Amino acid sequence: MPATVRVVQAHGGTDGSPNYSPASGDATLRFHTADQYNPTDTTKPIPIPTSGYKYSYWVHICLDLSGTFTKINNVRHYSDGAIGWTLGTGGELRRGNRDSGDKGAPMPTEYDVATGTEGDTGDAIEHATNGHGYYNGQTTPTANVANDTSASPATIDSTDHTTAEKTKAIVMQVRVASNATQGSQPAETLTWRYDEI
Amino acid sequence: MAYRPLTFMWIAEYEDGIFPQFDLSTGKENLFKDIDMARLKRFGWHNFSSELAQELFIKGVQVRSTYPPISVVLDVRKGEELVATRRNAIKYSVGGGYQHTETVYVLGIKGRAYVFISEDGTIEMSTDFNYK
Repeated sequence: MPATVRVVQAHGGTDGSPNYSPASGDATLRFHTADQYNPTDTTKPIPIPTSGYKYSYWVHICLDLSGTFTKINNVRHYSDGAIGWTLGTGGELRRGNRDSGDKGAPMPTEYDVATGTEGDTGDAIEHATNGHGYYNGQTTPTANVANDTSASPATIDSTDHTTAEKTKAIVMQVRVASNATQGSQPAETLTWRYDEI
Repeated sequence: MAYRPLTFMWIAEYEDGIFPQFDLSTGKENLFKDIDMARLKRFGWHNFSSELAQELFIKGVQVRSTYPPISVVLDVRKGEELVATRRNAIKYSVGGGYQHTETVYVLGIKGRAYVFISEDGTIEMSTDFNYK
């Protein structure tokens, strides 16, 4: 029987020791200004700033591997090449980026609790002191997810996984500019690709 | 479903017999890591027979087939490193919803060329392992 591979979100907990949701099925991803998995309300949206940028709290999304398999590897992630959200000039859906090697954060060791001011803004991934510790020291600490496509996906995890465990996580965040358009944004589809034998 | 139904199964061939992913009569599953690579002569992706598909269905393994049935088999020579994998994809939406989408079956010799077999039986070749 093929492996069971679920998309899960790491959240809460402490650095290096997250909680994972959901317990079964696949994660529902939402970006807002709190470190909370799939909130049932919209009370903490990302405000539109008067100048500069506001950020969602960053989210760690990874694959949860279980079941019967010999090896899972070559884990990649991409978009359709366009994120159709009106995030303003310089606004984007971004991910943590490494200058070389896999772009994913090893889990749980490099899990970094999302921080910021609830209801106002998350800390930027690249922030020197409050940013994500696995990325903020990189020369290019973030990349635009819209530039990750099926022809040129982001390699999240090239490790050979031979037992039930989590893969490295993509760390994503929304950046909103002052000329963004208010309101809920349409659904966007992202894709994981991985090899299994 | 937690996985994409299988379209192909692998069969490793030795000089004196075969070692299939699923026993052809009982459906018992074997693991890729248990292939004796030192004895391996040929390796291929094959459609499921209707009898085996029924046996696997009883065991809870979902499979499908192409029409007409196809097999893609590779000779493996001494010193060559076999590459075989199922390339899976999961699409998920910001705001909810996910789907295990088409699996591509990959077969080749490391550093040389690879065959990419789609679920509809379409076959493409490339020297780029990440071609698809």
